[in-house]
Formats: sequence, C-alpha cells, structure tokens
Amino acid sequence: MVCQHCGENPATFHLTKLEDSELVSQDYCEQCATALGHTNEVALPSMLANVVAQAARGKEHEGLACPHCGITFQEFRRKGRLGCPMDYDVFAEPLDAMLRNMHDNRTRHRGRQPRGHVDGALDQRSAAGERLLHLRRELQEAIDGEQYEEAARLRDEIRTIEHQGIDFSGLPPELVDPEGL
Amino acid sequence: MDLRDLDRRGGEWLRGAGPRSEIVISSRVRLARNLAGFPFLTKATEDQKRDIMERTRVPLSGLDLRSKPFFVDMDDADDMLGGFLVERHLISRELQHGRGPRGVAFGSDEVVSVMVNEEDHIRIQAIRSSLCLEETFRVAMAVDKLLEPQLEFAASRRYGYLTACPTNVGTGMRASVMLHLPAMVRMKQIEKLFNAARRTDLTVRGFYGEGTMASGDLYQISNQVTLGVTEDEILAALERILPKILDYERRCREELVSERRRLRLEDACHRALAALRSARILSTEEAMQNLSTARLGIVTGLLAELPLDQINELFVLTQPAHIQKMRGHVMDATERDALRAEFIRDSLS
Repeated sequence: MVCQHCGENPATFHLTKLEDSELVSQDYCEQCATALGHTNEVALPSMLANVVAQAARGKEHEGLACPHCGITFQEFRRKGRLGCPMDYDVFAEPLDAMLRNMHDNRTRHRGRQPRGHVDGALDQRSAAGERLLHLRRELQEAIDGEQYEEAARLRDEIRTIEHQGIDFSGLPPELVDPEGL
Repeated sequence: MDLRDLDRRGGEWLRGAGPRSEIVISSRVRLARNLAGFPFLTKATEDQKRDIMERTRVPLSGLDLRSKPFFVDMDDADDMLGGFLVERHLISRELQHGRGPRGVAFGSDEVVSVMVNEEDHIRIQAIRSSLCLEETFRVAMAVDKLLEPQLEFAASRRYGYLTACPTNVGTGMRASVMLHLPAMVRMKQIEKLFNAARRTDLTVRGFYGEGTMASGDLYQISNQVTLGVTEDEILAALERILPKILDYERRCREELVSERRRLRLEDACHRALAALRSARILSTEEAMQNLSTARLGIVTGLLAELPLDQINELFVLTQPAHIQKMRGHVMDATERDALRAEFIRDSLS
C-alpha cells in the first residue's frame, strides 16, 4: 500500500477517523504523516482499532435486506433481534463472525433436531416455511389495503399449505422417532 | 384451583429438598422455539401474534397431567399480577412489560411454564428444587415433545432451532442453577465464582436474572453458548464446574463455624432471626439479607429449629408484588414494608 498523499512511499501510518459518523481510513508514509500533522494525533490502541475495523466491515452489510420479512442488517444490529427464520440464510455472511463471537467460535448446530427433520424432509419443510412467510406478508398487505377477496384467497392458500404438512407414514420408524420419545 | 391460592405458598422449586439443597436452591432449563412460517416477533403483526397465541393454546392445555394448567393473558394482566408472576420466576420482565398478544401457561406445581410471544414465539421452562439438571432437562424436553407434533418449529440443519436473537440459536437451551452462597460472600470470596465462570463458557446472574443484583446472596449460573454444543454437553459443562463451587461454599461455611469464628456467626444468625420475628418494618432488601443469614444458620445447624422450605419460600413470598397481592391492592413502599414485616412475623412465630 502506498501513501495516499504523495503516492510514492510505502504507507506505514494508518489512521481510522470518524467523519460525519462515517469511518474513514487514511494511509500515509512517515514523512507525509508528519507534514500533515497526523503524528500528533493519538493512535487507537490495537484492540479498539479492531473493534472499529469490525464495525466498519459490518457497515458493508448494513444495506442488506431480507426479502422475506423486510428487516435490514442495520435494523438487526440496532435491535439485536432478527426478523424471521430466513434471516439466518440471508445474513449468513455477516452473521458468521457474530455467531463465532457469541458461541466460542462455533457456527454449526450439533444438538437435537425437531421430530421428522431428516434430510429431505427438512428442505421440503423450509421451502413451505418460506412460502408461508410470503403469503402471510401478502395477507397483511391485503388486509391493510382492504382487499378482502384477495385476503380470503391468501387465507385459503395458507390453509392448504399448512394442511399438506409432511407425511411421515413412508419413513422408517427410527427416522421419524429416532429415540423412541 | 385459583391464582389467588398461590399467594401464600411457593412453587415446587422452593421446597428446599433434594441433592445439595443446602446450597442449590433450584435447577432450571429453558428452551427457545419459534413457529416455522411466521416472522419473529420484531416483525410479526398483531394478527400474527394472536394467531400464534391461538395455535399454542390447545397443545398447552396438555401441559399439566394432573390438573388444568393456568393460562394468563398478559394483555389483560395488571402490573401487580405481572410482577407477581415475575417474582415467582414464571415469566420474564420482558414478557411483563411487552405489548400485544402474549401470555403464559403453567402447571399448578409451577415446575413447567411456557411463555408465548416473549422474545421468541415459545419459551419452555422447567424448574425444580435442588441440584437435578438432568431431570429438569427431561421435563423441559417432555414439554417440547408435547408441542412438537402440533406446532412446527423453525429449524435448519446448519443452525438448529432458529431464534430471534442469535445468542440462543442452535439448541435454544439455557440451563442454570440457583445457588445460595452466603458463606463465600461473608468470607469475601465471591469473586472466585465470577472467575470460575469467566474461565468457562458460563455466566453469573442475580436472583432475578440479567442485570439484577444478587440480593439474598443468591446467584444463578448458566451456559452462554447454545450453538455447536449438544444439550448433554451444556449440562455436562455446568455439572463439571458445580462441584468446585459447592465445595468452596462448603469450606467457607466450615470456616465460619470454626471455633474462632463461630460466635460471630451465631450472633449474626440470631440477630437476623430476631429481626425477622420482631421487626415492624422490613424493606425487600433487608428481608432478603436477613432471610439469607437465617438460611445460613439453618444449614450450619445454628438455627436448626427453622424449616428450610419456609425460608426458601419467604424469599419469593415477601417480594413487593406478592405483598401487594395478599391485600389485593397497590401500596406504597411504607405500607408494603409494614405488611412484609407482619407477614414474616406471623410465618415464623
């Protein structure tokens, strides 16, 4: 990386500044940094700098929005709560670092799965869950817009999907109820 | 049975009997679950929250095998009832102060409670007296199994049970024990508990959970990590660290009753009992502190005549909302402190 001021010497002086609530990175060589008077500024201790850098990285994702529930990554960061189950996939990338932080560097579930959540069934179920999320959102919009015929149609569709559920009858019993619970 | 009947008795978890009950008040397991096909509560509409309430009602009616469970619709509950349920550890402050359709169902012995539309759609809790994490876990799992065939839970292969806050994702499980550590506090050794927790993935909280003071020398210790560990591993981590803490408290108690310190402790215990039996005004904090000292007196044999379950119960029954509920109306602090003193006096005379 070369100095952003002279554009010649290697940049050895790195500055992270808060300007109009935006984090700005500046990289200068020793001479330019002195000339510009930056060497008098207090350097951030490395731990704090890491936190700041992490916050800056998180910013890249702040505009990211979930197509299923509408929550943005920024909104999630502010509230600390996600908007719907699909957010774990939608925000998978920025969430990864957070999950590692919270769960002692672990990111993959190893505990129990709900009954019937054997491989194929799980995918089939999440597809149905995703569809239901959309239908429920459309239903609310229809109700808010007083489009009652559309609302009735959506209600029927929701009911149909819910009643389909998953047919466990074809699965071997140990898969349905592996622990006999 | 009526909610009013609960005023003067505590739940099963206060019974003060079972393994290590001289130190361990209770064991608790909580499971967070959400319904598939619904947004989490931050994005759920009032209609959807009501829908979730209705869906859970039928399966939850099978909660208590012996009798009909209690249902409390929190939208209809006043501050006094909300506070009362928080003090009994049946609901969280978040549910009490939340908005919109939300509620709780619990069995008559209060071992099991299920909050609906708190931070997650469903929060299952099992709480039992003394050190019995495995058994408590089995109770919570039984409720999970009761609900599962009737409600489809949001889950993924990679992340397990999906929760509104990523700190709960995976198992959705929080296991904890409530410890009474008066000797470690008196010997100024309580920092050791925090240090021990810091070295592991465990966390320490006060009697009423997150952000509360450890009044009455009561501390809760629970797992922090929920993802990438199995339910059994969560229990095992707690069970690994507990013997060390329990042993430390036991040794501090032995030190307090050793020849050179015994008189001082005896004096403190009898003073505490005298205050509980004679005071005309007792604040919550003062009551908790004296109850804690009296409890230490019981388990060290200095106040052998007092029953442990009664002291355990008084920790909860003398909380502000309980005191007000006894009379059925809102009171100011002065009035409450006088009634608290009267109630404790009557209980221990």
